[in-house]
Amino acid sequence: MTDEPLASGDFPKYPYLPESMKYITRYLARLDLGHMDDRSVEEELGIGYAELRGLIGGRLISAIRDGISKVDDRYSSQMYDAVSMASFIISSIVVRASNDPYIISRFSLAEGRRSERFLLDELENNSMAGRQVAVYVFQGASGCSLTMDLELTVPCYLRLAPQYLAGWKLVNRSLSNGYVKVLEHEVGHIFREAVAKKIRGIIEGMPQPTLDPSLKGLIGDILKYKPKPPAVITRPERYPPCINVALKKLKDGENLPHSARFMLATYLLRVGLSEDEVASIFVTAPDYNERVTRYQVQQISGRKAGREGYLVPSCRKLLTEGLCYRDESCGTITSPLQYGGHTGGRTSASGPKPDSPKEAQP
Amino acid sequence: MSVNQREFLQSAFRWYYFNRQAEIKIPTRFREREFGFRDFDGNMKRHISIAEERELTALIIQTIPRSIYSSSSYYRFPAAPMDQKGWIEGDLIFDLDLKEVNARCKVKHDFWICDDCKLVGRLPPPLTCSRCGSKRISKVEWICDECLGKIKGQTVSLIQMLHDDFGIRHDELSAYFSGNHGYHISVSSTLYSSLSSRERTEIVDYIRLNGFTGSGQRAPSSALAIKVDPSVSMDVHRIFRLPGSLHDKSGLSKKECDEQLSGDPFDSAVALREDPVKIRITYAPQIRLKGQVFGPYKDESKTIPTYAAVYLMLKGLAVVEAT
Repeated sequence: MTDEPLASGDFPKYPYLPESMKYITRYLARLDLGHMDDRSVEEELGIGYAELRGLIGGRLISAIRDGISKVDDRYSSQMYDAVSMASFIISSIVVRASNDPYIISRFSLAEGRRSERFLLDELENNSMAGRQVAVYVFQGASGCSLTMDLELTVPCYLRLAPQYLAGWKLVNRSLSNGYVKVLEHEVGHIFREAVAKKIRGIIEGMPQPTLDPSLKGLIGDILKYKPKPPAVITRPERYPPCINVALKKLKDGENLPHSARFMLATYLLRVGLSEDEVASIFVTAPDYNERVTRYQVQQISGRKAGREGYLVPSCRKLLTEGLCYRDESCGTITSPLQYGGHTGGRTSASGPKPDSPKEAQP
Repeated sequence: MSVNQREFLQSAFRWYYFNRQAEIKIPTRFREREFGFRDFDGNMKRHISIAEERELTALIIQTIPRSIYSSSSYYRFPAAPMDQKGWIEGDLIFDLDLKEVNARCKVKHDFWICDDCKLVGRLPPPLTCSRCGSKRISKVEWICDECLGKIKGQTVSLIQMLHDDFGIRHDELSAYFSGNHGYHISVSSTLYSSLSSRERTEIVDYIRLNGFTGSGQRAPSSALAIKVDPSVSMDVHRIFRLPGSLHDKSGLSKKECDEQLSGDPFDSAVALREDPVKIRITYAPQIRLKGQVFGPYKDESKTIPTYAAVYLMLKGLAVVEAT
């Protein structure tokens, strides 16, 4: 395998990699994002500013509205490379300027989905060269080596694999000599999340930019597609700090880890919210998918299947997961359900028999 | 514990720490580790750091602790309070103990004892003593060749799994007899050292088969649950008994073993002196130490070697009469 298997045509597919960034800065070095004009854009990229702005707007709106970035591909290949890369960089800067956690996470994930498609193409064409590119790009995005046989070391697998599905749990995987075998679509899934994390890091690390008013206007355009949080939480002061912190983060559009979503869903179901109400609070999650969310809430609730449903994690468990924000109002409670003097329900660390959800309502 | 008893036990430990200093294994990267001592009154002192190897030996000799621990993790400031220590990374550790292994022989040899009137009975323990009404009832766990064999078998299987499934090299793994009823495994691998508590829990789940659906890609050959203590492996701030130190419930030493765990730990880990001592024994099932069988005993005085007397005293079954 060569050290640098990427050709310049690959850069727009993976624009967040260092070599891609280096490539595009050649084109963008002379552009002043505070004062955009046709002449300088034309000189650098071969298209007018209005056209470039249209491309950036399209990329951003598709990302926020549809959850996957779309890039116009009507340009000749070399021009496409530069234009596509420029639209990525400038879109990222606009997203940074929005200073909105939902927009930042949603855009990062949408770019991850876009890039995932290219990676899967490389894997599916079954050529050695394609696989080399995939392996190289995977490492660039995730910091973890993927072998040509699509294996990850156990520590890398644990760091990157989604935690919430039984099939991904290490206990259900085949391990050999420190490696875990992953399937092509699983590589895509892991890669998407890793790219999203990488882009989020790039955007969050940018200084607050000064933008040309026409670019600034794009922020308003994309914010229109940001979902509004539902009004199902009426008395947050009756919830413990762990729940309120997670609700606030979710409302702000932060990408909550699965453990925090699980805590919210189990807690809100136990205090009496309906499955629909609980599912609706996740609408502000950057990776929200209505069908998947409803399914997961139903699984957690167990009501449809006539099961008891999952238990609320204990305070101890939440502490180990970094989700506990205990303050003096918590007193000596061992379960979020006991907050405010309630007897509480059974938690995952076991305990007394559960009260009915209505009784346990804070 | 009365002053006499405590002084006797402490003098037995003192003899070991004075005369067998070379047995204490100062861990690698000791400057980055937290040390902890528990004294004979049960007080725990943590957040101790050392700059030189001899500093640890000096501290041990000065204080003669009942238990000595060192962290499996490395810190920037090991003496600082927990939230300011600056965690760098940590060894992977596993604790296999009789408590976790459901050996069938337990019903034959485990028992309860009333802490007040010393009445003894078979498990399960009553809520109150039938003779004196005390609620201070202790369960006493015993060990026999059958359950030792079972815990050994589980430990050897874990070692094999760590090599075959996790790719741990032989030079990265150390196995120890815990000094009481089990084995400790410590893995110093740069690949695994930075794992978070959550990631370590996934490894524990793999070993214990927690969440195993049976429909995944796992090879059936590795589908046997090994009962490691989950709280030990997932806690990155745990302090763990120092190799070569004495166990507070037996007086035996935590002793390094080969990967086959060959030999009898109740021979090789006997560390205290042989000098005879007269003790009063409430009750004790048979135990073999250093190849010699002691007991069973019931309400009798016996003169036996110090190591055997200390073993029974630390189990709460005997008191020293005269030295």
